[in-house]
Amino acid sequence: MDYLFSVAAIAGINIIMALSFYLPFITGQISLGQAGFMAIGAYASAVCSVKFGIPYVPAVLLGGVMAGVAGFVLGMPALRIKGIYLLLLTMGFGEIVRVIFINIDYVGGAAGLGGIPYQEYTTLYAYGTVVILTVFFYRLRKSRMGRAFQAIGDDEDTAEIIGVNIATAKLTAFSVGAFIAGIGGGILAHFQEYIEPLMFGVMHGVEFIVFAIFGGIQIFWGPIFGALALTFIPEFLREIQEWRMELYGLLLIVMMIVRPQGVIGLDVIKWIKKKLLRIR
Amino acid sequence: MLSIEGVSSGYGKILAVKDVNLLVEEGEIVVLLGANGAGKSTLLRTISGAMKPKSGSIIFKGQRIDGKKPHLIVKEGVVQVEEGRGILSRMSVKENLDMGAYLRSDKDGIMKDLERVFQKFPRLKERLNQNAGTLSGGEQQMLAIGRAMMANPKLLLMDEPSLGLSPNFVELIIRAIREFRDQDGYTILLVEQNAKKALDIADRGYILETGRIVLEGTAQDLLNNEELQRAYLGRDAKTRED
Repeated sequence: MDYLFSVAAIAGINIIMALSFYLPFITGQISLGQAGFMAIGAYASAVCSVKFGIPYVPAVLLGGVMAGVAGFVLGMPALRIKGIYLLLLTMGFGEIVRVIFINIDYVGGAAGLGGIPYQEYTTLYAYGTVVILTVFFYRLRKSRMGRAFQAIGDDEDTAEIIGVNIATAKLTAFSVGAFIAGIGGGILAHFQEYIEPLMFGVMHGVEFIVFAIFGGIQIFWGPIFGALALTFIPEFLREIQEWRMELYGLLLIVMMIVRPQGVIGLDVIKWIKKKLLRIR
Repeated sequence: MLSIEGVSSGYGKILAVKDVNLLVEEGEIVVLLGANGAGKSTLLRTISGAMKPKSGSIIFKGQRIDGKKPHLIVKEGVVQVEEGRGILSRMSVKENLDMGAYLRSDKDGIMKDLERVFQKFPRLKERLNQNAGTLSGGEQQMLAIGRAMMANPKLLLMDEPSLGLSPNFVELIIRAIREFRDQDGYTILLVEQNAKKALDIADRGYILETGRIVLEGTAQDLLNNEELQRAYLGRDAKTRED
């Protein structure tokens, strides 16, 4: 049971991370740097708890804010570049964050930072955050800002001509995405009790992208489903754990060919809604 | 209404538009003619704020708009219809039209304008929930124009609205543009390849060649200009139905 709960907690954190990738993705910004923002959130919140004795909730929130500020700063140069160049920029950012933490003795350097107070109710907090995010994304979809995000993701030049302030919108999406990643990092830090720079490598950034692409990118239910499925399935099929990254690669190729919109597309949502209505 | 004074603009060091002066009075259709690469689209993009002019000033209703952000220029009532339609292909027709009114909050006015779009382009009403990417070329052009109507424009910048359309659609679009001036009270700056058709409905025109204005005048004068007939209209333009 403990084991199941711990996997569930990790799955919850992974959902948060997949959604943190998904928000800027709606505006066409593909970030490989979410693990970097996660690291900032994890370290900032851990320092708050360990060095200053700040309680759990404010510590995690502060971690999110720190990551959000970093997102804002990185988001500005990110406005000017697209596609593969943005990928490289965010990937470089993730690595730089890691290297910086390795070199800060105050937070333990390469040896990592231990003694972080354990949060017994991590599962609860993680899924509480997921619920809040779900409501946020649901409302965003119907909102003016959400439609502006989608328009930018669809065609940036056209969105600009319609009158969308694309700089503000993209920067907002990027910073809030970083904030969400920071929250994920804070929750992780207080679950593991110990963090080290190695935990936030670029491969994790790739993993979060795989969650979203596999689960679906048309609607926020996609990343949620992707993170859940890809966290639980490998846990129960222990033999494939080792080959996880290889399987992710294969999975992505197959998805691109068979179902590029991901498992949970708008058609699936429509189908589920219809079924639910019939039951009622 | 719109006055462009000594504007130069371009990408990097190369100027696609050089020292252009151009005037659009309220209630006019002004057509901008020129060969490919003459700088027509660059000029439109500079007016709409997508590009910043290197020098000169652009004045709309007594206010300088050059250097302003595009969304602020749209707010002033200067709305562009892009070349190559520029629709949001992953959104439905309805969502595209809604996005046209992105900067507005007057619900009644928006509803009224939506009805006007449907009146003008009934086809869009039939396709309301269809994905915009699945529309035909002509329908996409209607949608792009309809979306611009939703922004409640005062000045409409239209970049080659008849490009690549079948003759029927060209007729429909040209008629729509004429009605914009005569019924809807829009002022229009029109870039067109189809010189004869454009001059037929326009009040005045400018000819752009390698970034400079080389000729300007009333539409009638331009239609009768011999040099222009040779260059853009074909020798027997007056008798041929283009």
